[in-house]
Amino acid sequence: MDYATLKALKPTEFSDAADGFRRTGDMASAAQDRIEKQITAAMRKPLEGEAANAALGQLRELAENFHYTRVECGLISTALDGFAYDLEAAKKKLDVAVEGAQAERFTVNSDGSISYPPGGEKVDGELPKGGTVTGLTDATASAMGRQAANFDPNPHHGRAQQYADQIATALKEATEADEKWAPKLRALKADDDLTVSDRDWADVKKDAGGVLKVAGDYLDSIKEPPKDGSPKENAEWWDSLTAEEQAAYVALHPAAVGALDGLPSDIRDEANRAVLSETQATYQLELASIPQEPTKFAPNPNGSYPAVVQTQAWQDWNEKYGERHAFLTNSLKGMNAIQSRFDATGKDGLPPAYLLGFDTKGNGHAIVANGNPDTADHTAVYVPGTKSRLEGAGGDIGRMQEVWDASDQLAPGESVSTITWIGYDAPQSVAPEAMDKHWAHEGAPKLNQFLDGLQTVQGGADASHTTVIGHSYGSTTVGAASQQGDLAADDIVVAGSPGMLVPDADDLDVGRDHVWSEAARDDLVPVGGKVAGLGGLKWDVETWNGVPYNVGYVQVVPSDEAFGAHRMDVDTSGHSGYWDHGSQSLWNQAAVVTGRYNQVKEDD
Amino acid sequence: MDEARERAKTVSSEIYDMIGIRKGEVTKRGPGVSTCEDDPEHLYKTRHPWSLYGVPEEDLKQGFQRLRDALPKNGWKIVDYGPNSSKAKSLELTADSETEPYSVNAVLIVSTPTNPNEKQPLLAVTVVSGCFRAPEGTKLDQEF
Repeated sequence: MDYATLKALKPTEFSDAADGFRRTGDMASAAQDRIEKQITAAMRKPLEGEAANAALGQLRELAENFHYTRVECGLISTALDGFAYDLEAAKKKLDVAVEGAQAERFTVNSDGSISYPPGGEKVDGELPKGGTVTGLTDATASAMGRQAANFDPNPHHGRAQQYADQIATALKEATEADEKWAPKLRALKADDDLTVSDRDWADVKKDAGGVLKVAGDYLDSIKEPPKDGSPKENAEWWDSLTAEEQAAYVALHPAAVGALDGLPSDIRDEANRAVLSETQATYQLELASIPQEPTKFAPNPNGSYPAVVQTQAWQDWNEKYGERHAFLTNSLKGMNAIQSRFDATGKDGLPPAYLLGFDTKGNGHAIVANGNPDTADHTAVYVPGTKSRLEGAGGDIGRMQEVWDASDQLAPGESVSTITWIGYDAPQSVAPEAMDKHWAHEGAPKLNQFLDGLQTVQGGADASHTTVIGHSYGSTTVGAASQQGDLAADDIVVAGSPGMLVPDADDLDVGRDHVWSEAARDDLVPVGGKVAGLGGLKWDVETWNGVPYNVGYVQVVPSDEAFGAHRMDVDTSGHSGYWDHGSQSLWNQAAVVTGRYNQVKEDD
Repeated sequence: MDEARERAKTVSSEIYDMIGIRKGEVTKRGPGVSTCEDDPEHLYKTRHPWSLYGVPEEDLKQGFQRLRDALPKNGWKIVDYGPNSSKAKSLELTADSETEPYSVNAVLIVSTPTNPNEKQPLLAVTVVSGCFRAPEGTKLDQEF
């Protein structure tokens, strides 16, 4: 980078280019949305058969291309903005130095050196001569240059040297920015084919890491999100950023942005889906690089007991790859299920979905909404129970899609959002893990934060009618959340609850009339819960066939009459093989979710 | 599995015809796929909840009665009919097809002495199938 180049450089050209890429990214995003939410939906209705499926498959690939384009454009525009930011700083230094030099009537030469006129006190009748100095950036050389200037009776020498040094520093910084950014920008070139492969997505992740490494100064200029902020604080932070700054954060810190409660759902979805695509691709590639699992068992070569033994080949493989293989396979199962939910949007009126949370830490977590929660009239949040993890996301999302369908049936013309919240670390075994309360106590603040976040984006407690649905140990977590804070919900539904840590429905923040319990007569979970002590304690008389046998503090769980919750019908009197307990359960849940309390079928 | 969804839509269509209300609105969601408890990796059912709304309550009441009358004449056996156990005591019927593995449940939500001033009257219909075996290799956790 020489003086002439930096002088002529307009950093705004780069930030203008960044704007251009951002606009392109926005167009790609809009195109992706149109394909996913409108075109495929409209196409599925009139067209059928192999040709239609092939066309839909191609459209899905096209949507994927747009998704990739949008994410890469986000990275490119952020990189260009980062580069422009670094250049601005250097350019400003240059301009200030040049202005200063010219104000003192020095000449800035085309190579960045500075010529100064004669000046100072006459020595032997002559004015000390003028001269030319070149800038020095090396600290030692610079100090020597200043020393030399100090010996010169011409005071302009010293001043000119200062300006020349400033110019040289500006050039050095501009060169450094150029050398730092050029390889990162070059890495953002896509390959020529029209398929977005696993490798392409894995590269996006690498590119983002590369840009992040050098974008330090630029990112520092953007205000960071609050540490452990409330949803309200997070929302305020987001609103305080310019569109450029928001885009930079989504491009370089998608996981962090996606996890911020209080941010609009479409932003969280955008950020989390980039992470999802990148993670799917990276894990897929890694899995493909692991050698095939060998046959596990072979006949025992040393007699007939035991009949089969583990092969040595398998044991070696398992020691080296077993754990990682299992982790990758299980994570991919969950991720693929989530992706297929997005792919299915529009089919037979399936509403759009939003990925409000995603990570593969520990057992893996996911938060998926069916229908946009920000604008929903009725919201439901499902807290699943024991063994919940990313791997099982498909089934848990499916459950809430069923609740969405049943709720849409009861509230036509209103908007519904049902959210699957695998957002806490659930116990992974009935015994011993689910007998422990700490999962509930640790999950509770996360649930509260998430619900508060929903309330914030929806515009307050009265904006949407919210029901929390706790299944099995999930209901215990809901109980803990209620104890720890103010549960941001209007109704609570629990199914198969082993206990909610409190003895009475009135202890649950929503009021006893808004607590609804489902438990089949032969469900063993409530009994097991009492044994484990997950219920609350009430002073009571225990009877058997009407005969009292115990007086004292007893465990009370939601299915007990003493708890005081509505007890919704699970067994039906009208028998049909197909209209089963599951159907009854859905009807009742939907009745609560849509506020149609008087349609709930319950024991009096 | 698309065939199963199509079949469910046909059954819903037949029920809609039996109700005989032309001018109303119908919810847009089609049949969904649910896993069966007995074997959630291989067995699934279709479940199609929908409702008819946007017509006067009297029309909904008559439609419900037409449905009740038409079902036995069209190969369905009514296994339950009467006010249900909700506080509103809404009229509900459940019927099983005698020829195919389907069940239909209908609930009439209108103003009654036990549910005065119903603000959103509608006729809720749910068509549920028996359990089918998914084609080899189908990942049921990816079907919605």
